[in-house]
Amino acid sequence: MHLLGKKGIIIIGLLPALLFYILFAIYPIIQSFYYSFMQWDGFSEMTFVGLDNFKELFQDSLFWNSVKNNIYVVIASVLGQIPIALLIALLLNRKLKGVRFFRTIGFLPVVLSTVVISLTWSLMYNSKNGMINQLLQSIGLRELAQNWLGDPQWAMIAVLVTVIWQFVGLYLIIFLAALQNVPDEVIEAAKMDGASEWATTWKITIPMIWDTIIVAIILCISGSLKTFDLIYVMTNGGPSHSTDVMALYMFQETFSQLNYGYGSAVSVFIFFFSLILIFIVTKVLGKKMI
Amino acid sequence: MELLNRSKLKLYPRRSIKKTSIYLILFLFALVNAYPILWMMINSFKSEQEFLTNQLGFPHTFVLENYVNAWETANLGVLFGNSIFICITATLITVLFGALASFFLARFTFKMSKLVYTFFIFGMLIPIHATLVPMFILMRDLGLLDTPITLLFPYIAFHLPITIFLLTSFMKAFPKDIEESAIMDGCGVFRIFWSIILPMSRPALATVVILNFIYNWNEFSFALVLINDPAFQTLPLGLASFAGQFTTNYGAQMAGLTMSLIPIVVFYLFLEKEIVKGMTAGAVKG
Amino acid sequence: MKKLLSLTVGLFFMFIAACSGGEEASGNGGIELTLWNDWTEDRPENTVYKDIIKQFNEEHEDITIKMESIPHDQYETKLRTQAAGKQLPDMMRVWPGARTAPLAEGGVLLPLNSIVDNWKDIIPDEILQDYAINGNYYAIPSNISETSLIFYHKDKLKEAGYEQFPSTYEELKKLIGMLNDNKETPISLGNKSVWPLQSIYISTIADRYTGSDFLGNVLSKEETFENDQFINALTVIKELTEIQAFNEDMNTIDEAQARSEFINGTTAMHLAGSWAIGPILEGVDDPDSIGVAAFPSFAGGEGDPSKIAGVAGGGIALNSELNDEEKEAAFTFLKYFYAEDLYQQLAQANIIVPADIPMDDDVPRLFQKANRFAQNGLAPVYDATLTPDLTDMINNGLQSITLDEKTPEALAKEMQALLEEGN
Repeated sequence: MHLLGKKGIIIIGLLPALLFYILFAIYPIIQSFYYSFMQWDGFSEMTFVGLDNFKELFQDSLFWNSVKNNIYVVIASVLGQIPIALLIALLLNRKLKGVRFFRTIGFLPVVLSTVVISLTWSLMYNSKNGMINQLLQSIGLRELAQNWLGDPQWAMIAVLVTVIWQFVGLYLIIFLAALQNVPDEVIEAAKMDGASEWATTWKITIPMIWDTIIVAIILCISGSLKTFDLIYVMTNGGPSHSTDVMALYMFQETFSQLNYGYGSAVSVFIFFFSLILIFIVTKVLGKKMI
Repeated sequence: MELLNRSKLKLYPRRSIKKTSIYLILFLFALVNAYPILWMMINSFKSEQEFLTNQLGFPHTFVLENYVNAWETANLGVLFGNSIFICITATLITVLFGALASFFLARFTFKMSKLVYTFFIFGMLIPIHATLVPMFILMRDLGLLDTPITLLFPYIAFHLPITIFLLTSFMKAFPKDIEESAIMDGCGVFRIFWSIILPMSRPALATVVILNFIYNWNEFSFALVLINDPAFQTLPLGLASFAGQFTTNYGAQMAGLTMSLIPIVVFYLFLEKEIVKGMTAGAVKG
Repeated sequence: MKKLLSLTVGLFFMFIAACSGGEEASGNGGIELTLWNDWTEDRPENTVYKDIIKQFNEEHEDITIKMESIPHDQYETKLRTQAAGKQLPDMMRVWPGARTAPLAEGGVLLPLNSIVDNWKDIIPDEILQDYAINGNYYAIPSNISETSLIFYHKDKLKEAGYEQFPSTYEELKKLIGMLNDNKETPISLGNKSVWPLQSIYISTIADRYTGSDFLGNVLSKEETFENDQFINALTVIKELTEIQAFNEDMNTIDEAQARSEFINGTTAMHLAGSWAIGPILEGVDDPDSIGVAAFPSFAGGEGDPSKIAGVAGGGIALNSELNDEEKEAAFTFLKYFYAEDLYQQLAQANIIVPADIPMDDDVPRLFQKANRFAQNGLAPVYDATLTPDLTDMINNGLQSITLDEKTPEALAKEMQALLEEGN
């Protein structure tokens, strides 16, 4: 392979993806970044305001409230979705009867419409006749019953449980795919040596898919920081902003209040915030992802 | 001998306890996951009135007309066709281009490789709603608003990052000497990609195909703003049309949602085999 | 993979074939006007609108109205994106006040001043004014939205000892107390989407306290939100919550769910706008078992206690970039569309209309009564008058009041601060 030829081939290989990506993703993104320096209502002429939108953003307590809630989403997703998905993936990676059925069922929430998810979970959470409160009542724990989605103290927690539930399936299939790369022979050999299943899982399987776990964590962080759909239909940020997240705040600023510039400033913030968070996580978990 | 027997005796119940608890976890998991789907299907047979009065139980009378109504009022036939076309085409192009790029990013070392990779990751960090207005203006300027292929462009562009991200990390894990031996055999680079790397990446490819398909199938915002002509609209828009300003026809909506779930579940079942083929076939890896 | 590929290619060609085959020869050289609307749902009023347009298309060979329906919840997002890209349709459904003002002020809508006289004798000027911005008219309303009606189950009130609906707030509170004693949920409220407490409740309650000029005066800085009467109005919400007038899940269910609770007979009362008349009449077994009342009077209030809040309903606005020919065609359409036929048919679908039309005896009594309320003059609806950011603030603020996270005084103060900062 000659050097020149190699370069050319690499360029040919990357070009189709790069072209699409730059024109139809990066260009609009940069455009949106550009709006963040403008004041614009979407109809009249834009006016350049420099960093004013950002200055205002940093003093906006409702925005910081949405940042705080969003951090909860990140934490809950990383600590909830990934371990649960990993556990189920490990269980489903065994030769058990009916695995196929469980695999399919496990993935279903990912494909389900957020409208259905929101309706069913809202019914379960309902304070009067919801399944959760009735269950608590029937086992004599009446005091634990709450107005789950209606009480600002509980609403975020209730939403987080649903968010975790919704995306476990996504990481489940990613982990299942990764587990295919763990050769059976290695596991068998370890078992022959008398290692317990617990030990083989911890000492062999997990390290072998560690890279995938980090990939999943990064996906999880970036996904959580732009989380929108479910919260939009389930609570729309309420009650009294207790479940507001950044993307929702951006959407409302842009399309309800017609502050395109300000909304764009929020999305610039989301971008850099994700970048920093991912950078820190990869540094801590010891892999050079970026 | 006796010792062995005893340990066998001990081992047996422990094993079955373990097995039972595994099944218990899995059943619990399945129950929580299946409930909303069952709820949706049951409610798709209820009349508008019954949906409001009896949200939890079985319908007293099965209203099959919900399906007919949903199909007709929302013009689901056309929307299904459009969605299937857009989803499959966008997914195939994304995965093909993405896999090609990932192959070079994962298997070759060159100066810009890290930079290009990072550049692709950026696309995962932007909330889609921030790009609606710029995307609309861009498509307007390119004369691409309101055509049968309009949605392909944003769908491909916005899902390349996650595709490349997942595929690159998977391809990086292959042992180094694969290409070397192939090159010795006189294979060209694209031949290596097509006949060695792609088949090896099957589980990861299946994963990204499924993800792409789901994202495209459910994508709403771009479909809302970039398409006006009812002839080019996709399913999610039709499914939202059952909700009015003050009222919602839930029965028909649930019927529509149930129908829209079928293709995607079938598609998933079809590809799931690829993800887990190794398990049943006794994987030959690396 | 190969199978999939050939499948796609096959589908692609099928698709192209279907497209080219299905292409309709549009309007043989005539004018085609696109009309955006939110009539996606299968409801009587939407059918009325669509039928009249179909009829228009049949009767006018040279003009074709092409409808594009967008679900209501997404309508605004789509409209605003297209407006930012300067690609608005020829005609579009709009709602009065703050939802139309930015479009009109941005110069993208065509003033209808030259043809507005056409409706002078049919529609009261007061209602036409709802679409007037800086002296220009931008749309003709098809209906009136009364936002504050009280629907009640007659038998449940009787059980609590009331033959008539209470006429004062003090009496209403007593009734709520009695209902609670009877273990009956007094009022079903679905405030998940946060606008009901503002639009349905405060619009009328505040009017009772402050009078109808208050809002306009505040916006023109002659008055402030920190006015005691306005705070009194906000305090009513706090009080109603405290005496447990509402269902406990009020912040987690939406307006439609609350309405169905009422229809099912789970609650004695439900407060909603005229949009609820149709669904309630369709939902209950005996329409005569349901009563409708205006809000009671509030002691010490400065407003007219016979008024209720209301505003013109949806109308159709035109794009300011229409050429002369298109403009004429659009005017022809508007005149055809907003005519007695439409108002007759809407009234039959239990929609309150701005035009005075004769009513038969077979029109439900509930509807007749609600229709009469509009004749006492309408008080301004808050979210049709305030700017979007103020609306957002009062919506969320009222919810916070029900959760005891904010006092009425604090909300009034914040609203005033936002108003002053805005300009």
